[in-house]
Amino acid sequence: MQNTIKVERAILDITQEELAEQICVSRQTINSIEKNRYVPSTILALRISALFKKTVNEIFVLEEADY
Amino acid sequence: MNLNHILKWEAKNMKKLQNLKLLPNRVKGIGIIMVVISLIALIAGKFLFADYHTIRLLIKNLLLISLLLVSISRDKVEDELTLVLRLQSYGFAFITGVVYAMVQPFANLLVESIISDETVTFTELDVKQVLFFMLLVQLSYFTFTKRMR
Repeated sequence: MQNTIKVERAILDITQEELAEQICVSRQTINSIEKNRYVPSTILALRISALFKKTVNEIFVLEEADY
Repeated sequence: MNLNHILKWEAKNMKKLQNLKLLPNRVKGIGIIMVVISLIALIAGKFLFADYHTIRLLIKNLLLISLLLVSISRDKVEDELTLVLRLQSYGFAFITGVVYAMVQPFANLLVESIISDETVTFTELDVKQVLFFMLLVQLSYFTFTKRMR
């Protein structure tokens, strides 16, 4: 699964640390999600999408291998 | 008491078990200090106490409790990723603990037979030794994966 968190962060001009603070996780967790090492829970995905004011599907995109 | 009552009682208790919380972060510091103290006592105790055998048993218990405190206390930032890593580390420690308990006595036997000229006997592992190993593996795995995230 791919995600556009890095791009969305750049649009809002916020650092990993700031994003992490706003959704109550550690900076390392944001880094792991951005690098596709960790797939967040539904709650966390919804929190991220709410923060970026986009739907979950716009931020998290399934790859062919995920189907 | 009918079956419905038993099922409800079981579900209630399962919920209680699932809601078990980790200990506060300051407990981790206390646990680490206790580990250091018990390790020093384990080494220095030989020279300090006459009844070292009994003292050693107590220190081993203290060491296990200290490691457990470190293991079940919260991190500074505890989120869902640390929870996943924590669960993975317990799973890994459980599997390696079982393998260790099975393999180690044979490894001991092999090494002893190579070193010693006398007839060697097969000895089972001490439970505390296995628990100590499992806690060490859990903590190391958790620390390592946290660093790699």
